[in-house]
Amino acid sequence: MSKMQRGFSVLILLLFIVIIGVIGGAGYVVYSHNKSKKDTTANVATDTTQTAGTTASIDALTAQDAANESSIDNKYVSEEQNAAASTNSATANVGGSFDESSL
Amino acid sequence: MNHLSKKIVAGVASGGLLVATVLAVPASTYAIADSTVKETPFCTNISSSATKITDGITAAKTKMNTARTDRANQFTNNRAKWDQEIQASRDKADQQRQENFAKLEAKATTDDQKTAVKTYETTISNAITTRRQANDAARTTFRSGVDAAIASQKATIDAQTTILSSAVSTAITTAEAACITTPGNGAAIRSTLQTSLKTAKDTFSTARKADGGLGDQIKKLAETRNAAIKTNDTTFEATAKTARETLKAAFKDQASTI
Repeated sequence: MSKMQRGFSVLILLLFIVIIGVIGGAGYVVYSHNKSKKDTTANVATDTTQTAGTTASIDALTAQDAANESSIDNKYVSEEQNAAASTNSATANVGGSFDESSL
Repeated sequence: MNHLSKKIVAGVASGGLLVATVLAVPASTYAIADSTVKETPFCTNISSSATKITDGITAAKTKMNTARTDRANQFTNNRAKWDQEIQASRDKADQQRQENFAKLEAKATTDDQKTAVKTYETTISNAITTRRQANDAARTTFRSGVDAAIASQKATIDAQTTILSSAVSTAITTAEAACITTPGNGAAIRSTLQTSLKTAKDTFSTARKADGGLGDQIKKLAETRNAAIKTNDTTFEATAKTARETLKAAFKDQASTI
């Protein structure tokens, strides 16, 4: 009875490991699938190359083309704003370049 | 007698004048020597103080100009990268569109369908070219606006800097002159100079704050650019819709396949 109980426990442990493995594997497959889908959605242009040539895929492609340009524009507009302000400190320092109270 | 009296008076007067003159020369010499002795440390050091102030302004101006040069280089480099990224994006889109066009062409079986596909492709390609040219024009307008705003601000700052330098220079010259005239009056001269310098500094600072900076101007230019690009997109989409409908009409009952 005591030996049977120990054997049963090992079997349960193995079964448990198998179940965990299956659940983990299934979870990884679902995660990979969703991640791939998300990446593809984020880049419609990539998706359209995999789609058969349709007006819908071409519409999506041209829309993505415009969105990409807009995104690039916005990034560099921010760069221009930052660059434009880069001389502010040096300019202000001209006015503070001397301390009259130390005379 | 009367004549003799006049001679005596004239002699006495001449003698007095001579004595006065002889006494006056060492007296005035003494006065100068006395004032030199009493010159305050402020007046003694005013030349080096003035140099320190003007050197400080010169150094700050040099740093400002260096920052401007760095900014100009930054703009040039950023815009080159900007154009490259836009071009790379377009090249990729063109390649993908051509692949889609090829697949679309493969679906056309009749001459009418083949012609319709070619017409569709040409219309879309031309519309994309038009949209890109319009977007490029909007981008160029934006950049020109930014350049003009920067040039305008530069001119404003240069004028403000000139006013500052001039006011400082005048204040120093006035103080130096006062030190020569009244070298013993150093405390008052110093106080006047400090007030003048502070006024010059405050005037510059107030003018700079009133200027408002470039941020708002660039933001407005970006909004104008965005509005133009939105209009370009709307125009493109209208053209694409018409082209799509014409193509689908040519495919009749097979329209759902394209």
